[in-house]
Amino acid sequence: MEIGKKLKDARAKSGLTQEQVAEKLLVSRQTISNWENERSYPDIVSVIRLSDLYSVSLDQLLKGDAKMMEHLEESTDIVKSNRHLISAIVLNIVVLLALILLTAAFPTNVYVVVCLFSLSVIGVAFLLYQIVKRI
Amino acid sequence: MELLILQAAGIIGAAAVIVGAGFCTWQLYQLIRTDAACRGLKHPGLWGVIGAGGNQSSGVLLYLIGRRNHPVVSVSPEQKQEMNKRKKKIAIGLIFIAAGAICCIWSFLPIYGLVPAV
Repeated sequence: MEIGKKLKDARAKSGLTQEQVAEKLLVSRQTISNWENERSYPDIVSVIRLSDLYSVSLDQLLKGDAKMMEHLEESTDIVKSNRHLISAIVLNIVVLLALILLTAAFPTNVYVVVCLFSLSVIGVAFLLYQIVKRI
Repeated sequence: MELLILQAAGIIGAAAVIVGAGFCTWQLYQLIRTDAACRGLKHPGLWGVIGAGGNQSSGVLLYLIGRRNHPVVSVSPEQKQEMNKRKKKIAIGLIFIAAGAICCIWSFLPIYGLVPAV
């Protein structure tokens, strides 16, 4: 069973309306509806609060729902995001070194410079995006 | 005729860079302002200006350093969703800037005689 249906059943069993749950969790009623209809997924803190509110275990809410587990894994995987940031930094260092070496080797070749410029633009944009992702 | 096309491509590329930069700056300002408010930082608007200014990356790094000792106080799912949307918009803006800059530089090379025109 997916988490949306579990949340809906648990809410019905505890006799609460979506408005009441929204008030207790300090979210909008639309958010509760989105979670129950699986248009979006709650974050881990909201899942814990919902399990307390409905008096159901986290096991019951989370296990068996592959999509929910994927969502939680993505939102809490700091190692993966560090890896992307490090690869962005390394890419930029490599392009900078290539720029220095190749322009020294081919000083009159405009294409080399411009190709490396294009690569460095892409590298810097990627690095900036990785930094912004950490906000 | 080819030179005219190249000039037009260069100008469009430059326009894409300017529009992309302005768009990214605005999205970054809003993103940092929301994040600062969620962390209970004083003057979230000012943090937004600092983060979005400063050649974008240095401002963002300054903000990340400044918020180190301020964990998230409260963030609603709507705010989180809004922040994720803004990050995606910033990615689109960066693609515009990168594509525009590359188009610009490649199109101006033949115009200034640095490479033979096709």
